[in-house]
Amino acid sequence: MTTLAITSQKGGVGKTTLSINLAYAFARSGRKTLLVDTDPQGSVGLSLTRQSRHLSGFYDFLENPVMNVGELIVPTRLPTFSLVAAGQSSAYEFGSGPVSGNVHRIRGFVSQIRAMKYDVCIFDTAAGLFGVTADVLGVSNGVIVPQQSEPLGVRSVPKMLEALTRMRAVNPSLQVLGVVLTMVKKELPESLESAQALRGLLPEEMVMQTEIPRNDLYVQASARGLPVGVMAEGSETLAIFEQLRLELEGRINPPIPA
Amino acid sequence: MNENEVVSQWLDPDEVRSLAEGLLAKTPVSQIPSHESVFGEDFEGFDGEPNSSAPPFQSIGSEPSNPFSQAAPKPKPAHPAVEKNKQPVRPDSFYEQQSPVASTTSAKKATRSSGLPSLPRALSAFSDWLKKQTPILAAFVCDPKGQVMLDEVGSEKLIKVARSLVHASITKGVVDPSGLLQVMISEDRMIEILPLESKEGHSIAGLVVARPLTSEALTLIRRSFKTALSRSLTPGE
Repeated sequence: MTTLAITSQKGGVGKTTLSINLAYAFARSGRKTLLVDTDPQGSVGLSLTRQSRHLSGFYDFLENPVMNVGELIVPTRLPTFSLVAAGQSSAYEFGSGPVSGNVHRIRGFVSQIRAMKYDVCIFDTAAGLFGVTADVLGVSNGVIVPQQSEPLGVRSVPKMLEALTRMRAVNPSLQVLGVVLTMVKKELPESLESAQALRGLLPEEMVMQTEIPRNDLYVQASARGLPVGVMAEGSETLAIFEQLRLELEGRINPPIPA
Repeated sequence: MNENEVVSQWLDPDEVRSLAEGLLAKTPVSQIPSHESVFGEDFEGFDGEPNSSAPPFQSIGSEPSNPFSQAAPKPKPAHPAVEKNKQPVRPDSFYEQQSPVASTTSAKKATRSSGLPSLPRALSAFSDWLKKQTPILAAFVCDPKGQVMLDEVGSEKLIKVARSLVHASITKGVVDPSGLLQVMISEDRMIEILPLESKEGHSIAGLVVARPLTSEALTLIRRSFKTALSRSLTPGE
C-alpha cells in the first residue's frame, strides 16, 4: 500500500481540493483508495458527506485505543473510493507541539488499512508541518505539496522546505514527490509570474508539470458534495487530475501495483 | 522587474535550491527497512518463559547512586543494520545472554558490571540484546520513582524531558497511558519514549533511534521490557 500525505505550511492553498480529486483519480484507475481527513476543520467530510457532523473519524480513532478503522470507513458510490472523516473528537488540539505523540496510533491506523488491502491511502492534512501532521508524515511513503500560485505562496517556500527537511530526518523513506502549483490563474500576470518564479527557484524535478487552475467549478462541486470530476461540466478538470495522477505514478517508488 | 528579481527580494534562491536538492536526494529502497522487517525475517520474538538464570531482584532504592551510569557504553555512531543472515532468535535468548559464560559479549558485560545491582545489570543486558535486534542506538530506563536504572544517553535533561512528557500525557489524559511519545533530539536522532504501567506507577524506557520504530517492533520491545522488569522484580529467582 502507498501512503501519501497532502500537506503545506500555508493554509488555503487547495489541499482538500487536491486530496479529494487526486483520491478520486486513483480510485477511477481501479486502485482501492482511502481518503483520510486529518484536518481538524474536517473539510473532506464537509465536502463529500452530508452526515460529516455526526461521523466518527480519524481523531476519534486517535483518542480511543480500542476503536478499529473499519468502524470509520464511509463508502462512496464509486466502489474503489472510501473516506474517513476527521471525526467528532474534541481532542483536535493534540497537535500543538512539534509532534503530537500519536505516531504509534497512526501507525496502527495504517497497519489496519493495509490489512484491508487498500492500494492507496491519501491523508489530507491541516496546514503546518507539526503536531498530528508531522506524525502523519512520519508514517507516509510520499508527500505532495500544493503551492498557491501567488507571490505570498512563493515566499513561504523556504519554510516549507525547512520543515520537510526536518521531517525527512524523522522519516528518511519519505519521498518528496513534488510541489503542485494550485489556483493558477492564467489571466492574472501576478499568478503566472509566481508560477514561473517558483519553477525558476526550485529544481525542475521538484515541481510537477501539471498545474491546477483556479476554477469556480471547485466551489460548485463542494456545494454539491462531489469531486469535480463527477460533475457533468467537470471532464476537463477530471483530465487535469488524471494527468497529475499519472505524473505522480511516474515518481512513486516503489510503483503502485496496477 | 522580472520574476527572479521579485523572488530574490524575499528569499535566498541559493539556499532554497540547496534545501530542495537535499530533499530530492533519494534514500535507496534497499536501505529503507520495510515496516514489518525491523527485526529481520527470521526473528521469532521472545514471548516464551525466560530461563531461571535471570538474576534475582535487589531493591535499588537504597543505592547511593547509580553506578551503572558511569560505566555505560557510549551510544554507537551508527545503528547496527539488521543482518539478514542472523541466526533465529530463540524466545529465551535474551536471558541466555545474561549468563556470564554464554558469550563473549555477556562475559565482557559481566566483568564490566560486576558488583552492580541486578536490575541495572538485567536492563543493561536487555539493552545490549535490543541493540543487536533493532536499530536502537542507546537507551535509558527510569523506575516509577524517577530513579535512573539504565543510562546510555548521558543526559539528565533528556531524561527529565521524557519523564515530564509521560507525566503530562497521563495527567492531561491526552494520550493513552500506554502510548508512545517521541522527541526529536537532533536533526537525525529522536527518542521514542515507552511508558510501562505497573501498580507502583510508570517505568519509562527511552530509546534513541535514527528513525521511528515500527509498531510491531515497539510492541515486542514493550513486551520484553515488561518481562525484563517483572523477572527482575520477582523475588527468589
